[in-house]
Amino acid sequence: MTLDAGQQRALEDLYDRYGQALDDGPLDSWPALFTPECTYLVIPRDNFEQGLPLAIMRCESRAMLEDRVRSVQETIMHEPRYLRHQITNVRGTPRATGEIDVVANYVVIEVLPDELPKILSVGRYLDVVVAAEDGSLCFREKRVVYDSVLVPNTIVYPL
Amino acid sequence: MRNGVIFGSFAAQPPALEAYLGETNLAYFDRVFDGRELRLLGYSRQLIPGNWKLMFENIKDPYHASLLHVFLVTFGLFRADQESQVQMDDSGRHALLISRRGEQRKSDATQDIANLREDFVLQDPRLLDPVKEFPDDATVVMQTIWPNLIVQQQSNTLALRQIRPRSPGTFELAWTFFGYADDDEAMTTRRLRQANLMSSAGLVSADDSEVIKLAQDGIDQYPEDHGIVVMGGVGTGNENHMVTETAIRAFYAHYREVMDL
Repeated sequence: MTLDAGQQRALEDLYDRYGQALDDGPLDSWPALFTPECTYLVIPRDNFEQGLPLAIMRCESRAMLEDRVRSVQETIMHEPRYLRHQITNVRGTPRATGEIDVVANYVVIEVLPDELPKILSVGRYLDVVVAAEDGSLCFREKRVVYDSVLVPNTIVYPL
Repeated sequence: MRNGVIFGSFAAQPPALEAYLGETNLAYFDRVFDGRELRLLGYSRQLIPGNWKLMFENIKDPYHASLLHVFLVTFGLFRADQESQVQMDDSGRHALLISRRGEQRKSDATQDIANLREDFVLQDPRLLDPVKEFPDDATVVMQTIWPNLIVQQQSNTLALRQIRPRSPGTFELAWTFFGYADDDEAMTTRRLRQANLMSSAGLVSADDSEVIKLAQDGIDQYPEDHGIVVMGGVGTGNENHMVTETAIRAFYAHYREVMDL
């Protein structure tokens, strides 16, 4: 099965809003793009390919996403930074039950004060997208598998 | 090799590990590596723009945690007024910071931390659900083994951190997270959840790598100069509290000896 043009556009709109929430805020709007019961994992590609479970971010509910947001805003000591998501090649495969398996590429560019822009992270999203009660699409699972396994210092904001 | 951990050395005649660590450090090493089969949970690597010695300074400076790590302090996982010890081997090259957790409350030791988030309640408390798993009461044991290894037990996160210098101003920090082969699924999940506090995106350790970068930025401006902030004495002995830099002084005393400085 493939998505029709309208479904494809709705799916890409979800990813557009996802990137915007993280790059331009408000960051509080990011967890709302997930179902209350959800999984969000940021996994180095090495671990993923070897079947090792360790993720550098592991959220097992929307509430944990909210805790992560509040930590970014209030507890993690970090330099101010600008981030810019580039999300491409969004390919969705609908299941008979309605969920959509999605694979997409991402690059996140980071700008720190007095430094040139650099690639903070590059990799794939391996997601399961579902329709909420109001018909809007949201994430039930999101696995961020990053190729850039040697992280340039610190990842403060979710990818 | 000892209890599943392999050490390597370029020395023609490396010392026996037991003698190298000394009695106290060996006992704490065996506390985590007690002979049970280990279960590898995964790796995490980060490239930190700082001199490698800053990482050891960070781990050997026990009370920065109570000032810098708002997350730890907020949830009572580490505070300067907890029952604590700093113990070293005879040479001062290895050190142990040993502590016991408190509660999420204000105290004399936290009232000066303006940004203690007393009202921060986790929306999903499964993130922090530590259980006692070692025979003693210590909830944090951070062991620094000369020249480049950190053995970490913070609640139920167990990890080795290797420091790999890349240049005078850059080092890689390579984390290996593990548990035990006989952990049940709940314990493995607990370790994986608590790993949220650690490594390159850690709710706690991100503070450290950010601060190391800032420290290196400061150092880089004055390559011909020396700077030192002396707090709380000049000795290098063991202490039964955390408000001390004795382990840092002992580290540099050993470093200078090895480097003929």
